[in-house]
Amino acid sequence: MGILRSIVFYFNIFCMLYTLALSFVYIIQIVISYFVIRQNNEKKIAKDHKHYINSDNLLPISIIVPAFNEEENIIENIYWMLNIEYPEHEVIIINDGSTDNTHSKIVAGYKLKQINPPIKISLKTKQIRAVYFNPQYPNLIYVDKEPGGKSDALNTGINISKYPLFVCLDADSMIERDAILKISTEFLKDTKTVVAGGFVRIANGSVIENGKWKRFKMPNLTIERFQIIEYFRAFLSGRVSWNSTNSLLIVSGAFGVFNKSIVIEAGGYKTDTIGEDMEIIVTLHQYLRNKKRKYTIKFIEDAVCWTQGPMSVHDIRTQRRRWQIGLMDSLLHHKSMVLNPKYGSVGLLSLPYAWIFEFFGALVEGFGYFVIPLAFLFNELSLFFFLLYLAVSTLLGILISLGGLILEQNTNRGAMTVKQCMQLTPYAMLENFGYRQFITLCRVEGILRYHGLKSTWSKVKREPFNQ
Amino acid sequence: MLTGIAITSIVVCFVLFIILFIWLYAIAEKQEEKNKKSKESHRRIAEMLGAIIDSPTNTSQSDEIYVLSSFIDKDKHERIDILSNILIEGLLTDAEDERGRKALFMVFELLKPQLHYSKMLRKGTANEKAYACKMLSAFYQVNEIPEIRKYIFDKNKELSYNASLAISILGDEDCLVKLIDSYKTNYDYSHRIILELFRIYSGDIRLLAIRCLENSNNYIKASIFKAVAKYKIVEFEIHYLYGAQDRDPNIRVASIKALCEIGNPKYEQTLINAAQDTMWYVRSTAVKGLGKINTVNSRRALLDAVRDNEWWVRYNAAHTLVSMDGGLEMAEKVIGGYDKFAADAVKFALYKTYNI
Repeated sequence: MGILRSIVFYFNIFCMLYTLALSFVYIIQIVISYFVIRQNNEKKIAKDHKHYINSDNLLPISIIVPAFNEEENIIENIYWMLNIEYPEHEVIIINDGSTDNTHSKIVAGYKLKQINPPIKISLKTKQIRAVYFNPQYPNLIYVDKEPGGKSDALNTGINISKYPLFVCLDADSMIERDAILKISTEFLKDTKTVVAGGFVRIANGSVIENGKWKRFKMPNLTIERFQIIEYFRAFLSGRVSWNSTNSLLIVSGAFGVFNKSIVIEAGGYKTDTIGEDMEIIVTLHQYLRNKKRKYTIKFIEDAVCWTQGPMSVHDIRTQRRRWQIGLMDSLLHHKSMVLNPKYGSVGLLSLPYAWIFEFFGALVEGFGYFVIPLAFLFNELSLFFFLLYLAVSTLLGILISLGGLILEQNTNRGAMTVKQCMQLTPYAMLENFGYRQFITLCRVEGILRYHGLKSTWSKVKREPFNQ
Repeated sequence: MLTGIAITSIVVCFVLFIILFIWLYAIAEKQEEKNKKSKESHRRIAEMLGAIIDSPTNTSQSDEIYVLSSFIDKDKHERIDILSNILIEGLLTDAEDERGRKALFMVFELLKPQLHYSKMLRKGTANEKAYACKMLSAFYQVNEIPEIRKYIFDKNKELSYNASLAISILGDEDCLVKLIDSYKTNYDYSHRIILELFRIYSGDIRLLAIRCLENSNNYIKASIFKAVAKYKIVEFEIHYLYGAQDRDPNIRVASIKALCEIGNPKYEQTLINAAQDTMWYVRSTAVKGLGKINTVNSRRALLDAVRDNEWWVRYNAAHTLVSMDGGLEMAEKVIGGYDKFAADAVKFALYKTYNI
């Protein structure tokens, strides 16, 4: 009993220090991001992506869209993808063995006919059943293939694509019309750019017309409001700050632009993972640093893609579990990079951070929810300190969430009115009472069920965008 | 002691929370105010410009311009920018509304928005200077060239980039030659920037290309060939012919591309040789030109290219084949032939081009 008490006591202390350290790191990230975003705002007037709308000197781009059971939005989303502001692009839809009506809807919706195009097999993939095309939509290619997962679908898209840059885009997401234009000019101005990711925003509630965001409307469900706050925090604090040291570990699978030849050189997407978005970025870091090549992986907060956040507890649980498994997979696969000076800021900063705070964070926080009350029960923690710990950790959590909202306002996008911003503020507080704990438990579940859930698409139910 | 620290930390967190909340409110309010103001200014300026265009007499037009001028003076920094963007769009548009254009030109003459950017170019921050370069070039302010020149090698990338585009739009040949020469050792920018500088250049492209070629290396040479290919400059043809046999495949591709644009049957043999090059991307470029010259020998070479080992060459050759005069008969032969890959490439090309 004495040993158990000692374990509980020390774990207790460890949890408290860990929470403080984590909050401290988050606050530093917010401060760095605040200044970076301000600097980027100042640069905005000098940016001139619109100059290239009518130029034939932009790098042509292939938009690769893996689809699995996407019958709800797919027809409409393909339409917006075909109509983005970009001089030369193709849209490649890869149906990864959908079990719903995705296939028939696309074929009928765009009057596609089966063709037999030449394909250069740069990456090994599952078999293609058929390729479809309609000369009326010369930029659209639809591929029906054997199921192999999202990574396999992306690799198929890379094989089919004919342009030097490719965008991986989720079938249930909608990019803003000028988003790719904004990102691809980065590849012109800096030849070291190998990947550039955009800002994925939660579309729930927002009104989007003709692929253009019109106005923000507060979503109805509490769970959606929490996710808005979460995305602000994750993208504007995490991604922006890691971007400043060229050590981003993830470019969202929903929207990223890649240099195709480098991705092929690095072996393409690893097919035995569901966290392909993180895996490909860490693989590229490893490959390019092994080759001692100069490169940059960028996050462009101004290039926006809209996605629908899950609207049910079940769906959010599935999503977060999947994210955690993806994270764990990449961290385990690239463990040799950790604290290895050869990999620079990635090996010395971002990967250790991901191990300590993203991976173990879920475990420490999860077990903390049980052990700290246990310590209180065992009288190893006085009521005063128990409440104090709760108060400090909650207040820090609220400060960090508010920081995310401040960063969003700092982007000068002017998306929300004062009233809407104030309406969201209580959710920045409330998410620390229940939601955050629920997400942590989903992440712990992901870790515990790592082997069982490692190779599923884990679909989340979506609804059509507000028009 | 510990209790004291703990309570202090809670108080600090709480105070921070209040500060952040007030800060958030202030930013949100400022943001909303700014958006509203900007929208309103945009609406008013557009309205006033409409009134200027629709003014029945010169006197009433002058009066309206005076009203606009007073409105802009109240918040010059933002409003002059809105006006400038509308003017640039209106003056550059191809619409045939001559009356509207004249009126906008009169506004430009009287309000002189370019002076605002001229000042910005001298006294602004690096990003403002970059923006000023963009606006001054859009207004075609040639007299600002000496000032813009100062920034083409600035360490601020946005500024140097915008200044480079501006001098190209304004047609400053000397400076552009110097700039393109600097790209010999500076690979930060993609070669497509050189193509873009040529595309927007308002001076004599031929002279610029000749001067840039004088001291160029292979990288610059290939970029210039690509940039000027579409202009079919006769005196460059000899360069292209030599380039087609260069050891550097990039020069070969650029030269072949330019010869393809020219499409003269006298370069038949050069293109046929290129269609058998060791590098697949040279071959895939050459096959496009073979269709353009459409001679007996080029057709034969094209038929060989449809059976190339590299899919991209087959793909380009098949497309060229089905699009050229008399190509459909040849396509039929390929489809009925023994090479399945060639037949597939042609079938695909036929479907993409003719939906058959």
